Amino acid sequence: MAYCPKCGVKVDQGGKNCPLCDFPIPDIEGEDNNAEKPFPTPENVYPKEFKEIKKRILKNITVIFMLAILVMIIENIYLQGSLTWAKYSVASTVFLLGYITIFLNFIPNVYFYLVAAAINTTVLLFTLDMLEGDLAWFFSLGLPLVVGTLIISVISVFMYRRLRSKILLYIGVNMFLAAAYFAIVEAAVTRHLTQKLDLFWSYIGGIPLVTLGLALFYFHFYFPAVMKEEIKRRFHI
Amino acid sequence: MHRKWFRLDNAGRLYASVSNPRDTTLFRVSATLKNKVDENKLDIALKNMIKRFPYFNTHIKKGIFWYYAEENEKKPVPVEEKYYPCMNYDIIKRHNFPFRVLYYKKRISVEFTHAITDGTGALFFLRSLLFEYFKLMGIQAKPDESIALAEETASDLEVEDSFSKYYIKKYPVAKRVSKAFHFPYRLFPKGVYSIVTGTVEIDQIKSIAKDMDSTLTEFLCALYFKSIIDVIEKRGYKKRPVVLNVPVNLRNLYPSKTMRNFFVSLTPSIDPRLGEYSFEEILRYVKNFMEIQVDTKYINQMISRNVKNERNFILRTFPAFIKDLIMPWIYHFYGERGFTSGISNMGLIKMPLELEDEIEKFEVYPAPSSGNILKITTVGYNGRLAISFGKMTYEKEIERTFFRKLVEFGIKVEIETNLE
Repeated sequence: MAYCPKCGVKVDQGGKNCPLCDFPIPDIEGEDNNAEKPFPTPENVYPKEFKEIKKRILKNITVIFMLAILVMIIENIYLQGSLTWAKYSVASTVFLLGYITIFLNFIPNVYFYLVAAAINTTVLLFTLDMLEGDLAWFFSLGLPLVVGTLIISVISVFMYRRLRSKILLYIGVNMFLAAAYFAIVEAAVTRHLTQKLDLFWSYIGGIPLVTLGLALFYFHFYFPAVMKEEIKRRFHI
Repeated sequence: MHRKWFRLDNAGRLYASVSNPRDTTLFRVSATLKNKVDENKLDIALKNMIKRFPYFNTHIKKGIFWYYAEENEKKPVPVEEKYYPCMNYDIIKRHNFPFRVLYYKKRISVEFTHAITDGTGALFFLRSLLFEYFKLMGIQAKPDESIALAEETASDLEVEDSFSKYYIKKYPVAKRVSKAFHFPYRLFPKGVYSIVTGTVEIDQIKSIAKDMDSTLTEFLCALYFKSIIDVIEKRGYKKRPVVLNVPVNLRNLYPSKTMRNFFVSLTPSIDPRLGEYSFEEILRYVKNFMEIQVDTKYINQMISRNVKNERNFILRTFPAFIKDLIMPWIYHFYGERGFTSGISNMGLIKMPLELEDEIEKFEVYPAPSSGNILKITTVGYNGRLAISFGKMTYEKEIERTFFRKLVEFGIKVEIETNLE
């Protein structure tokens, strides 16, 4: 019989780590090593079952969506004689299925989810634009907005993980990001409409946001004692 | 054919609604034999025995308003153990018995859901099953009153819902406890459960408890309190009251013979924010607490609280699927949130003398729960006490502290675990 030198408890055989403190217990006797294990090597079927359930859900949703697509096409052809509006609804439904697939295969990694959803959205916008005949707005409007949203949200998630405990800094960073997003949106829209960059509203929204963000940074790193005292005086309960 | 059915009891209704892949509500009673289990004989023994236990020969079904137990047409089959203990079993699934019988090498285990019975009922079933099994193996023994024979029929008293019977209407209810300290450990992935069992000599631990003028339960309780408080102090966890959930078997206090749930939880609590506690101090507190609380006046109050909530007219009219949504919430806020952990002493098991040579040990594992990720059950048999930690985390510091304290008292502890 073997004892853990640190815990002083007896274990059924030496040569292994102590079940309480992981201290390697020396194998003194060198025998008794074929002692029967009291437990089987356990099998966890839960992840497998969960995957099965998700697969089943996806299958059902796919069938329902296929039926919906069929109904749309038939209805369109029956009413209008040719495929007109159904093109758009069918494309949207297919890409909705794409979103659901991404969500159900949700690997617990938010970056994967964001990138996959962004790709899906990009392809959806490209398809919708293509269906109109030629590419009218995809490159000037669709792509920049999707990429901008993706970059902003990835940075925000990344910052959340770093600054979770420093809430003032995190809010400040998000204000900067919002200001940047304003600029991206306005740049894309003005370029699409007037063929040149013309920023105006994003300054109006962005300057206060950046100022506020800087103020938050300031308050995080340096909170004046006078002001602290002042707040204490006015707000003490 | 008309199938028999019965209502679940007060605790059972709650457990049926809160069960999920992590909180399976299954607890295990197991016996390790001296020889390898003969699965064919076990199969026959189980099929013989199940007729004696009509209240276990059921499956739990969902009614419009409440879950209920209905006679099961299938026959239970023992299966070889291959999962983690108390895991991967859906108690609500059609034709699934509220228990399962497992065997592995020398061990026979029965896992019961708390929805149908508590430790007393489960041990009664296991003992009777073992008796029948050994009878088939050719070992005749004299049955005592805690063993049912396959030929008998169950008395109605065993199916009685004692919670309802001893519920007194218009009894002032007990006040609730606030949020307790919880172990800040990361949970296992779903489907994983770990057991750490320490075995000690009963005489040794009992004599030490007696020297301190306390019972075994009180001693273990106090030691567990001390271990948790020491860990909090050492690691600097945020202090909150440490509350233990100590179930009391009410069959000793009320003239009940029921084989369904009949227990209430006592909640001794120690607040580490108030200062340091010595072991003697804690032991004195636990001792006094138990002496005061184990009294039918207070127990009545707790039964009344539980049953009164269940009889609440508004709650009753919610459909079962709505109850499924709100019960876990109620269970969290009014149950597990108020406890740090649980320690349940199942007492001493006695088997007929002839069988004592065949059975090496008994063990009881607590039901996994994500709200109280660490719980203890203890059971004594043949001069040895098995202290089982059931836990849902890799952290080992609580049981390490606990068992090291036992060793410091000069008690020899033997450790066994299912995860290496």
